[in-house]
This record gives sequence, C-alpha cells and structure tokens, in this order.
Amino acid sequence: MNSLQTETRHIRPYVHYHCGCPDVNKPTTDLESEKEEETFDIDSPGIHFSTFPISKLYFCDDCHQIRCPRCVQEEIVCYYCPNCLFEVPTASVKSERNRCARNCFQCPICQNTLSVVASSEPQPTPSPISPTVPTVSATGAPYYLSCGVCRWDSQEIGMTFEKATGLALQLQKTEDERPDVKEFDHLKDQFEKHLRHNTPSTTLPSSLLSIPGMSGMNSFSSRYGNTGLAHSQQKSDDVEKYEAAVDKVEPENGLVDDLVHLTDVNQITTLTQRMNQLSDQPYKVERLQPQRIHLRTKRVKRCRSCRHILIKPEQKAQATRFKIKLVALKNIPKITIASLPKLILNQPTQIVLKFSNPLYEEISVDLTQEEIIIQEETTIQDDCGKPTLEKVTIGKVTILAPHFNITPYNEVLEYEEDLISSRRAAKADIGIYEKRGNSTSIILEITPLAEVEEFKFPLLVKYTSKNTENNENEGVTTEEKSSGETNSSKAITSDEIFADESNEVTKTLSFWTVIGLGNVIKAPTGTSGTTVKGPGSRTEPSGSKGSSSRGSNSANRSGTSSSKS
Amino acid sequence: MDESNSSSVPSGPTVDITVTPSIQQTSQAPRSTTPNTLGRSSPAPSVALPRRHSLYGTGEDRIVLDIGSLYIKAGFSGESRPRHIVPVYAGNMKFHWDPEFNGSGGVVKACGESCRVIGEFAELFDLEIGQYPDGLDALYDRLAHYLREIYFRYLLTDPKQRKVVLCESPMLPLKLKQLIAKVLFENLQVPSISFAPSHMLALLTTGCTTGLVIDVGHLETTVLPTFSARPLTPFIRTTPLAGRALTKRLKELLSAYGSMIIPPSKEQKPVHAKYLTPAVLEDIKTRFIFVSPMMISEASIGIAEKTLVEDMEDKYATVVSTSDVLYPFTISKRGRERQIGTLVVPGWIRERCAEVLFEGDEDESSVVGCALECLLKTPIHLRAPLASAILLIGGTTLLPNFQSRFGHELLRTLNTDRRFKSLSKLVGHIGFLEDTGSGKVFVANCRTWVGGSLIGSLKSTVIEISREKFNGQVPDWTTANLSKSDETEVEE
Repeated sequence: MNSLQTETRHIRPYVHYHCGCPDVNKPTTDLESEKEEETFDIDSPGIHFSTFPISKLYFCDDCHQIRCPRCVQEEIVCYYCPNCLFEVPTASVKSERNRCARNCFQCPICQNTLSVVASSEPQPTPSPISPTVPTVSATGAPYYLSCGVCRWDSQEIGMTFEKATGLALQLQKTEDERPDVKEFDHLKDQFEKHLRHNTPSTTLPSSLLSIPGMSGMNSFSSRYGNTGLAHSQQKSDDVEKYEAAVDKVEPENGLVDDLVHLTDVNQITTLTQRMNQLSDQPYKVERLQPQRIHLRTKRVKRCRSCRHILIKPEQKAQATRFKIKLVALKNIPKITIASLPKLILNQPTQIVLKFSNPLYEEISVDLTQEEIIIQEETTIQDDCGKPTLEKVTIGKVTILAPHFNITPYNEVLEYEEDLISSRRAAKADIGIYEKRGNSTSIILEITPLAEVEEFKFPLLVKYTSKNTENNENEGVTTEEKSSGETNSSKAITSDEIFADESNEVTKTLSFWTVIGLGNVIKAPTGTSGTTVKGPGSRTEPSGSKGSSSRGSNSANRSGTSSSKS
Repeated sequence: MDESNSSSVPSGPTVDITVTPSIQQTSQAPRSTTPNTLGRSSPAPSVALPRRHSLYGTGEDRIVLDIGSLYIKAGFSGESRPRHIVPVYAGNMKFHWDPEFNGSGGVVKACGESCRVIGEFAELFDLEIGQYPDGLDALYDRLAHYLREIYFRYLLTDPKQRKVVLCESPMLPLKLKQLIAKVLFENLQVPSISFAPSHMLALLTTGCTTGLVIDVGHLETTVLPTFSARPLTPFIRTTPLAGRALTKRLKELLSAYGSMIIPPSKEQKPVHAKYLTPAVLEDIKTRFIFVSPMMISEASIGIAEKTLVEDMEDKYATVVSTSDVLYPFTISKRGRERQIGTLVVPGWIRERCAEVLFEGDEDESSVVGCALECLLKTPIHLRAPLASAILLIGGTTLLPNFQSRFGHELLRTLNTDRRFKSLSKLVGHIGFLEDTGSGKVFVANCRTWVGGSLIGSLKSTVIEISREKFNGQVPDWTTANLSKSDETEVEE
C-alpha cells in the first residue's frame, strides 16, 4: 500500500460481498476458488474484482446464487442519448460514432452539457480568453453553444449556427473534411490498389501481403528474419511511392514558445480534454471544440450459468422501470455497519453490525466463526537482508452472537418505527444489540493489534430461509413472533417455531463478506472508547447506503403491501 | 433525420449485402467526388446510406485494440482515429464506479458518462510479468474488466459479433499476449483475433513501407527497422528510458526543487511527497513539460552523460528563460474539486526534465543512442534508406519539440561519438517521415491504432485465430520459424 496516497484519502468503512463467480470460465483460478470455501484471502490482489457492495450485485433465483457484474452476460437492448433521451436506432449508432446526432454537445473544457443560446445582440469583439482566434461568423449567425458551468461559449472559437436545431448536422461537413479522415481514405485506396494488383501473382510472397493477418500464417512467420530476401524483392512487391492526399499538417506552430512563456495553466489542455478530441489532441485550449454527447445503452443481464434474465429494463429510453429486476438487495440479508467507534490500538472496541432481511420469510443467520484472527503476511528483511515471510497478527474479532434470527420483511412495520423500537432486546440476548422490524443488530468486539491503514476482516455469512407457501398466515403472526423471540434464546426459538412446519422448503446460502472499518489509531490519552452505548445510540447506519436502499425497498414493495396486511 | 435512417435501413438481420459493394465503390470512384463517408458517414444525404457498415457488423468492420500499459486505444476499423483512449492505470473497479470514492486529483471523466477512473496508480502490466506469480490472475481480472467496459460503455457493441485486430508490440511478453487472447476469447467471446505488429502498422500510416520506427511509450523505447514492409525484428533495440523514466525524473526534480504555497500562509515551502501523486505528475508531464531546443549537456562520448539530480539546478537553472508555472492542487471530496494550494513548478524543470531521455550510459542507452545502435546492427545498404525515414511514435514523443531535438542529438552523436563512426556518412541522410508528406496528420500516439484500423478495413484474407481453434497458444514471432518448419512455405 502506498502510504503517500492514503494520507490524502480517507478510507471509508464498507461491507463488501464476495462473489466466487464459479461459472466464469477461468481455468487458472479454479483451484483457488475451491479453496475459498474454507479460507478467504482478503489480501489477495484479485479481491477488488471479486467483492462488491451489495448494490452492485444480482441474485439468480434459479441457481440460488449471488451474481456479480463479472458473471452476468450483457445484451444491449436500447441506445439513447442521456441528454435528450432520444432513442437512436441500432442501425445508425455506429455511423454516428456512438454520439448524439441531434443537438446535444458537451463542453470541451469541463465536459458538462452545453445549451444552445441565441445571441441577442451581435458580438463584435472576440472574447478576452482567446484573443488570437478570429470569431469568423460571430456577427452573422444567431446561435451558439454555451456552458452553464464554466461559462465557455462556442463564439470563443468562432463556432456559430444558422439554425437552433440539427447542430450536429451543421457541423458534419467540417467533420468530414478533416485531414485525417481524408488521408486515411487515401491510404486505404492506395493499399487496396496495391493488393488488387498483387493478389493474382501470389507465387512470390508479397511483402505487404505478409503483414500478419494479411496472408497465410506461414508467411507470417517467415516475415521476420528474411532480410536478404526482402532486399532482392524490393522492386517487385513494394508499394509504389505514396503521395499524401492532404497538405502537410503542422499543428500548433510556436507551441514551444508559448510553453516557454506560459503563465496561466488553463491555457494548456488537460489529458481529459485532449482525449475527448482525438482528431488532433491539441495542447492549446483555444483549439478545443465541443463534442457530441456519447450515447448510453440499456442492457439485459443474464446469469452466465443458467442463461436466465436477471435484469430487463423497459425498452423506452424515458422509462426507468425494470421488467425483471433480480437484485441482491432484495434477496440476501443486507449488512450495514450501524455503529463504528474509533479503532484504537490494543483496545477492545464494540461495533454494531445490522443485518436486514429483505425476504418475506424469517431467516436464520449463522456466522460460523466466533472468533476471527486476522493475520497478514509481510516480508521482513532479516539481518542478512534476506526477505522472509512472516505472519503478523493484525487484530482479533469476536462475534458474541454468531447465530440469530431475523424476522421477515413487512412493509407495514416500515412506517411504525417508534412502535417497534420499544421492543428493544433489553436483556437475555448476549451479543444482540437490538431487534427491530426486519433487522437484527449484533455486537462484534474488535481488538486491533497493529496500526494499519485499513482494518478489514472476512466474515462468512450463512443464512437459511424457510419458504412458507402460506404467506398470509405468516403475515399475521409476524408481530407475535418477533415479540416472542426477544424474550427467549434465539437458537431455541427458531427450532420451536419451525418445528411444526417441517414440510417447508428450506434454502441455505453462504457467502463471504469483507468488512472494512477504516484505520486504526494509537491510543490518545484519556479516551476509553470501549463502550458501545454512546455511538450506538445513533440508529442510522453509518455504512452509507443503508437509509437510501431501505427507502427503495419500501417503495418497490409498496405495490404488494395491501395483500399482506 | 434519424427516422429516415430507420425506414431505409431494414431493422432486421437481413443486412450485410450493402457492405461489399461499398468498399469497391470507394476505391473505384474518383477521389474528388467520393464523399468521405466510410466509417463516419454523414447522416444527412441518403446517398451515404448504402455505404453504411452492416447492422450487426458481421465481419466487415473489426474492433481495433491497442493495449498499452497506461491507455487502451479502442475503435472500429476503417476509421481514421480511435473512438476512445481509455486510461487503465487506475486502481480497481470499485473506485472506478463509486463516484463518491475519489482519490486525490485522480478524477478522469471519460466518454461523457459518470464513470471516473480513480485509485492507486498502477500500470496495467509490466514487461517483467513473470516475476509476479499471482499477478497474472489479477491482471486477467483487470483486463477483463476494462475490456468489458470498453465494449459496453464506450464502443457500445457486442463483443461476440465483431472480430478483433490487436496491435502488438514486438517486445510484449508472450504470457501477456496469451493472457490478452484468453480474456478476449473466454471472457468476451470474440469470434477471432488478428495480431499485427505495432511498428509496422504505424509505418503504414505514412504510406511508406521502409523506415526506422521508434516507439517511445511508457515502459520502454523500442527501435525497430522495417524494410519494404518487413519488420527486421532481429535488429530491434530497446531502452527503459521512456515515459515512466520521465515521470520518475519529474518527481525527483519536483521534490528536490519545487515548492508549494498553502494558504493562508504565503511562504513557499518544500513540496511534501504526498501531494505528488501519480495523477498530478501525469498531468504536469502531459501539459507543461517540453523538450528544450538547446543542447547544453557536454557530451564527452557523444551521447550526453547522465546528470545527477543534485547537480541539475546548477547546470540548468541559470540557462533557461522558461517561466515558472503555478499549478493548482486540487483534492476531490465527494466528487467536488477543491483547491488546497499551489505548486510552483520551476521553469527549468519544465524545460529540462525531458533531458533524462537524451542522457544515457553503458547500461541504459539514451533514446538517440538506442536508435543508432539499431542502425549499427542493420546491413550497410539498408542504413541510408532507414535513416532517412525515421518515424517517432508513442505518447512520449508528443512532448513539444521532441522530434526536432531528437534530430539535433542524432546529428551531434553521429559527429562526435566514436562508437558510431561507421555511421558518420549518414549525417546527410537523416530525415523524419513526419517532415514530409502529410506531416502530423495522425497523432503520434494513435499511429499504431490507425495502422490497425487500416489493415482491418482492407479487403483481403485476414489471418486470424478463431475462438474455436484457440487453445491457449498465440502466434509468437520468436519461435514461429521453428514450429512451422514442417509446413512448406511458398518462397522456399
């Protein structure tokens, strides 16, 4: 890790879910993923590509598995401009260079959307920013593009329009006459002509034909190294002298002088600005031109193993609904960090993890390990300067309540927060911080033993849901259940409750998570930090996303709520 | 106008007929009257419609990829420039997609979408790839991620439907080449890949087939002579003095001689290393550095000797007139940029930082030395044609004034260095391809890609490995002659 970077960047706490992507065809890591069931290396370099926040994950009903962006297949169903929401027909997407062919442009300076403005009065004086550029038609044409964010406007570069619509079309002409386009077509003609003349007589290996990919694999291999031969054939097969189609292009004369006397950094384009104008990638800001806005797509996502559709958006560009939306948020327990005091070296600290159940069934969660010891392999130089691998213990995590139940999701309860919060687990449940609504919060005790930039630990979550077909029945008994549970030990409760309904379908799924808690600091004098009560009274989860995703949950489910209550 | 498109082009899979005649039309029609519609056809005139590439791109237009260690250039064949240059040096996907998670200054907003590339600086790959045992797996993931993004977010096309032209540098490790092929075939399921040598492709964009192609990229500089469209690979020379060495030098110089002002205090303090993030360095490098037109290094053995960082201020600071630049530091917090201070970049650093590329020693040849060593290895009768057709490609050569300084250094070295005495007759022959013909019509960092696009668009049988035939092996020029010896070749 680069300590240099982390100083300026605050590492946020997070809970990321691991997806093993068993169906991604990747033989090299097959062995690894098998091992992963028991051990899960949170320090492996691939971790960033296999763990995701829950909002990025899908859930395949048929495979009963988490699916991540890596193990879904995508199909584009619709192209549209994010600005005007115009749906672009598939046939013209590529010829429009994947950009909006109507009126949408992005600012060459700050990449925000430009708006078309009618010039109320003629502007005879060129803008002070680029005095060298003559505003050719500034007085003549009435419309120009203007950026509402950085105040750039297209009159600065002398770009004005006769009409307020179809701006892309008006610019198309200059676009087509760019020297690189001309030259490219000319080159293509030249080589095509050469190929046409040479293909009949392939008895001699034409050198151009032996460009890899141009003729047989054999000549591909012989091309390298056959230098003596090459010379003797020079006359017969070389391309005839090429005459460029365009005059010599010498962009940006005097650039060095300008750079020598540079005072304002904003006169030189940034890399981002240049990469938005690949035709010439100019150094000077006044050469930048507005670019059409890039199109976006709506995509269907399928599970790679069973080919079932996980995400299917509404085809229309304006619609934000999804016809099919199998996201992990609605199918697996959501874990949020509800309380996170500062982690202080060698001091046991209690954090609260909140598990929310998005299902309409009660689930029981099993965290398997009661104690997690985090070790890190570090190379340590010994006396002889030989690097040796050594395991250093970073910290210890104790889960006080590794088994617990979460009551089903019930949208009615969502609106009665006050009522539920009174049912707080007052006693009896060791390690359970709170139970309310469809969530259970548990206490974890963290003991950091090393000063690290990011304290993170793996957590294997296994949950079992019992699918009662009889939904109405469950809806009625929910409240009673939750109150009954809080009074008795949870493990026994779950057995008792489901003992008489043993003919139900039980589904179990286990997945790894990585929980990052930010940095560990040295103990400042006079701080205790062991109690959970102080920071814990903050009920809103600090692990971001908590509140917003719950909101969407309730919104999505509100349609079905009437049948439940 | 889009309505007219959809009505005249049938929106079913009954498509591909229009493509073949279109190319012939272009080549037969007189140049002056042919509208340049291929690949970038104007949407307006209905004449242009039959020229359009097929709806589903069954074979005619390919995806051209030039995968570098910092940037991937991607686009469609038959077009004169890549559609996108995607920075791939950032950390990982999570940071890439979480707009709240901004690193310091590392915000690169691309393609108009709100995807920002953020994170720790790391090249996509290194040339010494074998040294990292688990590096290949991580690289597979990174590459797969970026290529998926490129296909679905930038090119907006289904990888399964288009063949791929892959520009490959001759020094690309075989393992890496195999890995790229594996990602493309297994993860993205492209139908086929054609490999094309990058130097050769770049040369074709000048219309010439003979030249000394010098690629100054990020990881290293490669000099490859090409004669009559044949890359003379045995004579290839490389040196690690390239973009990465320049960044390193810039960082050293700025930490030693730069200063910064952080309000409210007004005094200049030495630069704290934490502010010199790779993103800041890359920004300074690509915007404010240029190659000095003056040579002042004394050259005892012809090629300028390396100067220690400690001696540089004495040597350069007094002989330049370049202005200092006040570079604002920004830190982005929750997606918003906030200026926290100003970095003073001394003018002499701006002008003299790139000296690192022209100073060499026995172990690391300078860029100029590397080119001359290459010439020294080539047969005598090829030297003059090669020396008169030098082509500089790669991102680092975009530094203003690079080519002119390169030419001067070349002449000086030829005149003074005893090692290259046998080359001294070339002095009158030195010439650059970009000084003739169409000049810098294509930007030097895209020339390879443009060549790939050219090759991909030519109507000819294109050699490719298809997905069905892919068994993990890729063509390798170092061993190809041996492994194919059982097959009869036409010229033997």
